[in-house]
Amino acid sequence: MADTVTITLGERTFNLDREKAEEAYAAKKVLNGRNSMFFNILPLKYNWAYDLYREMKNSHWEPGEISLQGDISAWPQLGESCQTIVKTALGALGKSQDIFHSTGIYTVRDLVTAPELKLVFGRFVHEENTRSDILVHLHGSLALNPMECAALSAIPAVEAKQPFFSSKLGELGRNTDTTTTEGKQAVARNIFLMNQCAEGTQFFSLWAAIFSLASQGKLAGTGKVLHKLLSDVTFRLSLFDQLLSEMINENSDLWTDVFQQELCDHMTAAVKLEQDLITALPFADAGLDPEALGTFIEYLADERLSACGLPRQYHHASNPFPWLDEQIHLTSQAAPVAVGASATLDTTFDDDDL
Amino acid sequence: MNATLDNFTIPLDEAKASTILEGKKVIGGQKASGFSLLPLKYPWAWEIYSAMRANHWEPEDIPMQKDVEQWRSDEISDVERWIIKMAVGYFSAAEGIVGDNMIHVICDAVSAPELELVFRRHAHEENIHADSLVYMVSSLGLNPHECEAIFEGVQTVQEKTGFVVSNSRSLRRDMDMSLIENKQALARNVFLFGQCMEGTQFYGLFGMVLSLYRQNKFPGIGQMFRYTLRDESNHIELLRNLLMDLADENPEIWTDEFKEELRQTMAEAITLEKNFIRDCLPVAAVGLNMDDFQQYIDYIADRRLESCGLEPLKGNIENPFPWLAEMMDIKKEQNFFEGRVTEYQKSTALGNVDDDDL
Repeated sequence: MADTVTITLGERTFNLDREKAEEAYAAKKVLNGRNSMFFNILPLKYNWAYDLYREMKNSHWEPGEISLQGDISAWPQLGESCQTIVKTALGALGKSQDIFHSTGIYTVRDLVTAPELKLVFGRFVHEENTRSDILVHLHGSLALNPMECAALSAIPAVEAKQPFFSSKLGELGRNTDTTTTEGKQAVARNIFLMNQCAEGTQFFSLWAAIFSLASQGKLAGTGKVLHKLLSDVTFRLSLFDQLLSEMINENSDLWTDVFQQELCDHMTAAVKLEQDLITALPFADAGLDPEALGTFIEYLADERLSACGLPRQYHHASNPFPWLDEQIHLTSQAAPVAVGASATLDTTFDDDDL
Repeated sequence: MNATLDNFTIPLDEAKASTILEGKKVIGGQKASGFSLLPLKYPWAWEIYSAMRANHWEPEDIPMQKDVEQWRSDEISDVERWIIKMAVGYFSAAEGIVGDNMIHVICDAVSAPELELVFRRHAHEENIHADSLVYMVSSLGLNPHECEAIFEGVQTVQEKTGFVVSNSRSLRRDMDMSLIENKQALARNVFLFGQCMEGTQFYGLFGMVLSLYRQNKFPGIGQMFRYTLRDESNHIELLRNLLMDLADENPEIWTDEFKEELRQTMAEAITLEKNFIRDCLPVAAVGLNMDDFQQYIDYIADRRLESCGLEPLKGNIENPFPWLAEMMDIKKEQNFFEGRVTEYQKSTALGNVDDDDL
């Protein structure tokens, strides 16, 4: 028998072949690690990734479980301008895959090499399906025509987002050379744009309007659905924040001052796009002061920047809509990212690691 | 006009709806902007997706205490432990290979929203299966590197793996899908993964683990494999539907020569599986007979071929393991859990149920 190492996980013990375990561990990297199809989730290097996967699966939900009966009776009383906001929001949600170029997330999954990262990234397929289930549930329950919603959302302030993201996202494919600084930056840039700038800030004025209507007792069910959707988004934000930290840890060459400034500039441009949307729709009718809503987007952008170690750009002392914090899971984002990978093979996992 | 979906009636613009419908193709389709699941062109995709969603399970739903007790006791032989290690080792790699192929080959090729939906669900279930193996390994305290070593050290296993991996890798490129050879390459991949791998080559180890389960050995692992098998039966059926519609929409690929090529692909899969069984699976130890076991592989492969409108390789074979068919029958994925929770329902989340009830 080869030299073995015993790992204790709570009441359980593992006997790992030390040489193989250390070899597998050393070969684990975010980028350019061993690309093995074989079983090597253990030993975990990115504990946070498996923890996050566990949190995600423990939060499993089905949109159809949330009753929209109250919303169905409230809908006719909503008034035309609020109905337009909600329909625009649904239209935007229906197009979000195109606008955010979210298939790029699969490219990132293809490029990362550690199995626990592939596992947690693999959940994105399920989250995309949940988005489709949400649209079925909302369109079906409220009997809203998806084509009408798509047409309503075809306003310049929404349409402008897609070319913005496609012009900023770099060419990234499964064969991209990720050993060069440019290649690593391309991965980091796309992660930041798709996640922090797109999913993390875009359409939050529309989401805020729905939460505002929900808090007035008008669309409580829709508010709950959106709250759960944003919980999935928050997990993904956390995944990308931590992935970025690990990448920087393993590849310090990518995190230059120039590159950091570039990312901050992308975020401020993304904020401007969302603020244009605020001027295009009657948010005041949904009970939101447009100017405060603009500040809210800036506040949100600063939270996203700060979570991935970038400097705040707007420095607002607080969220102008503090009641939204819980709805959009902002408190869970407040904690700074803890970079998880231990430098050496850690044989003292506790039970929570699995 | 209205479209109906489950209990919903959803209003649509007629002209736009027909544009969406015309744009939906298995490959080379035109994707409409916005939410364009409706109108459905491939109703089977929505039906199977709904069934898969209702079958949702998580590994921790299944208690492993009994398995752990048995693993540590002397009522279990080393041969039986070997079977479990082999199953963990094989499926750890296999689930990853299938999931990767679904995300990076199949989902990449299809564009109709109902097809994307069901193949993303397929990939998601591979993730759940991989996670169930992590749960088995951690519960039993197995040495994962030992499972891997068994796996890497055996040539018949490597051949079985190489057979699917080389195909999947060869398709990860930008392919011009107007070319007949590329359409056929995709069709072959769909057949290989659905009918040969998940549909036939998974069944050797399924049979072994479920024979143990039938003898009340490793009930938790057996239960997880039954859940996995129920999922696999949906995967086989949805990849079969995809192949049939691909051939229907692109009749030029479905030549006699190509059909024969698919049959020969299955013949190769059978040979590899039989070699693997002979080499690695101690069938006598679970009370089975080697000839019967090999006949079972022929039987199941013929069923897969016939379901795709292909000539069987052997023909007229009896199912030597009717008990296994009962546990595995693809038509019985509903309610074969003998009163256990079979459907995902929030109100009866398994976490709230006492372990003794499961």
